[in-house]
Amino acid sequence: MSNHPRITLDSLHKGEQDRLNAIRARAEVALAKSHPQLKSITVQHLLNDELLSEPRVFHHVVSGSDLEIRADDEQAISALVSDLVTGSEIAQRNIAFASAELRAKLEQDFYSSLKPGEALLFERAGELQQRRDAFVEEGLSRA
Amino acid sequence: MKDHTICARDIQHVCGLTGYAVRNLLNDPALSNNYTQARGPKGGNGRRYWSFRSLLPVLRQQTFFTHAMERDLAQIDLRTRSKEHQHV
Repeated sequence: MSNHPRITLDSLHKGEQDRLNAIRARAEVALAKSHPQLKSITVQHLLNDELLSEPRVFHHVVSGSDLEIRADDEQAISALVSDLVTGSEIAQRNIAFASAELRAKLEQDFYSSLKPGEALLFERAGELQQRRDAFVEEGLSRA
Repeated sequence: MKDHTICARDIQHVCGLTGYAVRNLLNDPALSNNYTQARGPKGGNGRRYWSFRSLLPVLRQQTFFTHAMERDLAQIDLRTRSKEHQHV
């Protein structure tokens, strides 16, 4: 959780602002590439508040050292973005919500793919839920 | 907790302050977000750690704070974060 992003942002010098903007632009692209399902308001929150709170970014912005992260290092930026998304509760909820729709559709697909009476057989064997979840997980990982 | 890297002793050492001055400085309400280490077997209060991000705006308002001090604190921050066994 970022507690004082405004104070921190206002205390940055010109060169630091430039470094932050460079990282921010690359992170925005990487975010759109890896998580297209995120809403724009979530993306704004990640880029405005969470990005500068990330210690690697802050260290780079303030000290200008390229040890941990560099604006033209795509791998580092994509690792950073995935860490940001994993660490942010809002982004996680956004992803969960986006995948809930797909999940419902996949469940429907699973039931319609069964032969008549097959669902009952699976239910009696106690493995219907397990098979459905496996089907849904597979569909989610394919998407 | 991973980004809480700098303790009062670091600030005192880098900025050349007295213990009293450091304590006054760290009473700033902007620095209320800190991580307190569990106290040891011999008692005493646990050491408190701040993130570099929350410290810097407060330190930059101080007249004694120079660019060299900032660089040293950034070094400490980097070193602590890249250590295998952290204080947390």
